Amino acid sequence: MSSLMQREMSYALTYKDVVDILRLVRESAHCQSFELQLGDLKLSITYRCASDAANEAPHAGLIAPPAVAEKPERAPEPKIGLDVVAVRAPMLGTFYRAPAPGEPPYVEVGDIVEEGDTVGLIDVMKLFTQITAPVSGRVVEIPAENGALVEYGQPLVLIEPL
Amino acid sequence: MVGFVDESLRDGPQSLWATRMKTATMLGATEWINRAGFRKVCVTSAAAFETAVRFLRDDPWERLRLLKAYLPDTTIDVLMRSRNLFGWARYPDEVVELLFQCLQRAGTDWLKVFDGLNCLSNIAAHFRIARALGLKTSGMLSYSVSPVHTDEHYVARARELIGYGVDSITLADPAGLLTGPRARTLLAALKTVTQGRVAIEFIAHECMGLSHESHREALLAGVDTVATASEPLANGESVPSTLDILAIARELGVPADLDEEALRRLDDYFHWAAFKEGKPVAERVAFDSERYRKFIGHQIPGGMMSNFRNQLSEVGMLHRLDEVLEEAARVRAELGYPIMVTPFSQFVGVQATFNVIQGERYKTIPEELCLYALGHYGQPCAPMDPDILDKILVGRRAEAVDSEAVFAERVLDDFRREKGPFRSDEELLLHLFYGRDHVEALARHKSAFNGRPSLAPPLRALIEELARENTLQTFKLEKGSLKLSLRFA
Repeated sequence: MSSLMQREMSYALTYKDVVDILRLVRESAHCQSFELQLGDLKLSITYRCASDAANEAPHAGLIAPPAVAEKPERAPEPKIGLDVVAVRAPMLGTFYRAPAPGEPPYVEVGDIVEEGDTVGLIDVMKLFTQITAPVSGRVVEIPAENGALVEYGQPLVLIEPL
Repeated sequence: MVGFVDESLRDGPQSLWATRMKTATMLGATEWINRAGFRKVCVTSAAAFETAVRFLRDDPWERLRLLKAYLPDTTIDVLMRSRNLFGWARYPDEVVELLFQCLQRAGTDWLKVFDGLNCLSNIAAHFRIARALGLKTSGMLSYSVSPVHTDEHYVARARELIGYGVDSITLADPAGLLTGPRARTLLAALKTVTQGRVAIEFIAHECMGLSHESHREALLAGVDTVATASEPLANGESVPSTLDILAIARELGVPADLDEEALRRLDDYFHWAAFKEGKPVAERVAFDSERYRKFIGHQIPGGMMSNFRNQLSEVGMLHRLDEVLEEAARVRAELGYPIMVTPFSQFVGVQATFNVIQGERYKTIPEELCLYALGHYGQPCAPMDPDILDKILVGRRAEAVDSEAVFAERVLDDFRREKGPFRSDEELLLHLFYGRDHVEALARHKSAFNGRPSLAPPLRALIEELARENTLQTFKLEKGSLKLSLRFA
């Protein structure tokens, strides 16, 4: 195609026209035929019958379907004994065990913590909130993984009060 | 004569595409942008840099160099967020200087710098450093509606900016709150300070449906520039469209030197880009006085509102959204009316959500909010509510913050020693802002560019798309001299 010809075609038909036409093509795909006359535009489309199309590969649309946000798989609720206090996520967010990547975690299983000690961080909308121990005691389990998306109320750290 | 600052590559994508415009898409627009006659073209910001690295895996430095190469006649503008620069921590002067040097080498001519509290001592060094490098600067003041955001507030801040030697003052209305009458008085007040010696630039968003009326006033007030975007990247939460504001300027008899044909081609290109990327095209907003009245209280920005809804629906509390928004209005006042831009909109929004969900106010407090209360972010617009300040700082040593000492800190040598060596200062900055993992992932996955990507002309693009449809039997199109008839096997 010569560049002059290309330029003329670009003027006869804009990208905006092409977008409008493709939207019409897709939105009327359940019809048998489609006729449109608007100003100097004439559009006439016939579609295959539904049974033909059904045998074909699924509609190869250009636009990827909107990615369905994968729901975080709810971690199985750990067994929480009567004598154990669960520190729970105050909000949906990302749980971190250490103050920064590469640094040691705030607490490990077996550590003794004081009430108010930081046991982890949660990132909610880019804001980091310290998760603190509600009681003094021994850390007996850390059911939430570092960097995991945690749900509201999910147990993060289990503490056995001493 | 009014100049136009193009925001099709920066504010448009940030407001409408969650900042996810790829370098390739930007390069496709450069031919028309370069030809259009914009006074400046804003090409990047903190959000764009971060998104390029973390999500798009486009090297943001390479993007800047390519844009400069394909926009040879264009003045390149970059938006800078206070001490956060392109990251989230607060960085000392040494980092400000290194970043500005790198930006300048990559083709930047202008920096517009803002601070979300309009606390200008935070950014005084930015202007000094930029000037020493030979960069032009604009001091950006953000508009808000509150008891403290009066004409006097803006006049005092503008005076301070002029003292810092800025080349222009940008009045920014990030939430689109400026009505025509308010724009008129505020711009008149600013002009008494600038006395025509310092340029006034104007940028206002369409969120509330007021951007045309505020721009009309801005044009009548004789602002030096307005900021607009190509139509598919304008309106909605973005700035108004270039051709719309150009039409208002023409109607008012304000001359503007823009190439309309180039602007139309640019619009047409972005219509196609938006379609191919599956991005929505926003519309003009109809002003709604009730919506405006409700919004004024909390001023949670649109981009954050969708995030907010997700958060609340995840915890099954979407039905309490109104309650959270009312709480946000209270929190905003208690914190001293910060302007609801990053990061302060998050402080207010997250704290309000905690307060409502936990049924107890300020029980859980994000770390950053404690730092804010301690003065690490500078002087709040108004003093914080003393009771809330006590609640936030309970059990903390409320040491006065010595900002000067923080700004003068030397961090780069240690960072080089601990995390280096780095191949370049550009790489060092990416490591500093986003961490090793993201920088390494970028190096592994980044897209390679060999020149400007080519784009099929519209007719061929149409045929290529139709060929992929499997529902069609026949397709006939007539338009002007064009006749197209297709029969599918």
